[in-house]
Amino acid sequence: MIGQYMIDPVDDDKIVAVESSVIWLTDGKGEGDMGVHFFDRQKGPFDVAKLRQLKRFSTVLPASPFSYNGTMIRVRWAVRIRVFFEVGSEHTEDLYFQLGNVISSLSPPSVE
Amino acid sequence: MRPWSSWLLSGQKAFSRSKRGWWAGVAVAMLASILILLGVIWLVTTVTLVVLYSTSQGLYMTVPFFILQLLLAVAMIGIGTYLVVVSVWKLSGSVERRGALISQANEIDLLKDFRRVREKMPTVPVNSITPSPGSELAYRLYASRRNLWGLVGAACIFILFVALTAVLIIVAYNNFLERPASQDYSDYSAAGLAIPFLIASVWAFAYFVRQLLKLTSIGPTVLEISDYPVAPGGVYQIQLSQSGRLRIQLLDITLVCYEEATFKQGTNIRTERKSVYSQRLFRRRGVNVDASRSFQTEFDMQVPVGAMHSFVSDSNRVQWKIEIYGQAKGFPRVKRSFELIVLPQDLGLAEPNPDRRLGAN
Repeated sequence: MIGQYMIDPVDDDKIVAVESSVIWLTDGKGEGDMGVHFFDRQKGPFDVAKLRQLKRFSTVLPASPFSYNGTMIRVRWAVRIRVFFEVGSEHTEDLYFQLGNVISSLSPPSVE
Repeated sequence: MRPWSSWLLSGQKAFSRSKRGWWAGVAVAMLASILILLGVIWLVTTVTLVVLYSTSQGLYMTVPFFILQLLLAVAMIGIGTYLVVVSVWKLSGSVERRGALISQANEIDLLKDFRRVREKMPTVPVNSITPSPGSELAYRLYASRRNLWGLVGAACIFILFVALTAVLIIVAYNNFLERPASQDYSDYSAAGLAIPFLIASVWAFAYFVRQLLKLTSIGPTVLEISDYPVAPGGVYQIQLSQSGRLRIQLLDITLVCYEEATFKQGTNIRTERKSVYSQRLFRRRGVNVDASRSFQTEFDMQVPVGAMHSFVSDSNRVQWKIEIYGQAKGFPRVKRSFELIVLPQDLGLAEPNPDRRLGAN
């Protein structure tokens, strides 16, 4: 998997760190779980012009877990970019993607 | 018939093609249960009498005699429990299964390659029970643990009710003996209370017997598979071998997928489980399981294309199982399940990620 991201700092809050990660998350009836497959943290200070440039990352995705939309459980993969500002606030963007080709609702074969 | 002592001490299983062996096992278990029961009654009676008489009329018996009685009662309970455990252990599993469990720590890992592979598949559950080599097909699956705790719980409930009933009967009898000679009046409250406890004891005994029958009524089930772990779209040969000594009215085998979610509800933590896929693999009525020869059959199983692989995280789980339901005449329905690990489909195995800094949980 190869991805690129850029940050356009529209506010004048100073950016102190940027984290990029590839994660899987579960939601549904159960408590949400999360697994971190790839993680990268860039510390500031940043040059605003550099932040606007595309930053590339790559990772080899694992063979599991597959994206799944079940009855009680949903597994989703996401690229997450988290930006930390100097004032203490932060901003997160998630981009979801599909891993694998699982069929959500399987129907059993007809009984002979 | 072999002496029961030799049966207990031998390594042979009770359902060993021989009705004699099975009945010997059942007899030992029943006698041991009676021993436990007598021990409990003795213990409760001794303690109750000492408490009742010590307070009003000084010591009922000497301390050494009291300790001796306590020790004897506890010894009866202990010996009885040991015999029941040994009997159930012998009655409820095959020799192979018992041997595998005992030697599991020293077993050579036949699926070492698979272990290496699944490290690259986070969240595909590491199965603590590794299949052993099969005799007819490549692998023999292990059945999930049977509900031994159900039996232990039923036994505890039964013993508790019997103990309480015994106490109440002793108190009622004591009240009757100590009533004033001038009046016919006696305190019947303890006797009145003993009746529902007696009924509860009978119910608890029936429940215990039912749990025992669930565990032992149908003999060991052996399931072998042509390849393991399995993958969606793959077709696998399954061989079932069912031993025992009963005519099984209905034998039903299904491939089932469960979703399991754990969540907080108020201050409690709940786990909910739902079957999301079920496929019948085999069904037959009137299966004769001969005492001298086990029932054997073969059938194919296909894991559906596009199926979710086995998955486990802290609070969520996708689990695949082969479930076997057996129903023998006059016995409760028995369910046995064999967990399957289903691998992700068709993606191949990813190489380790050089950029990875935090491991997936």
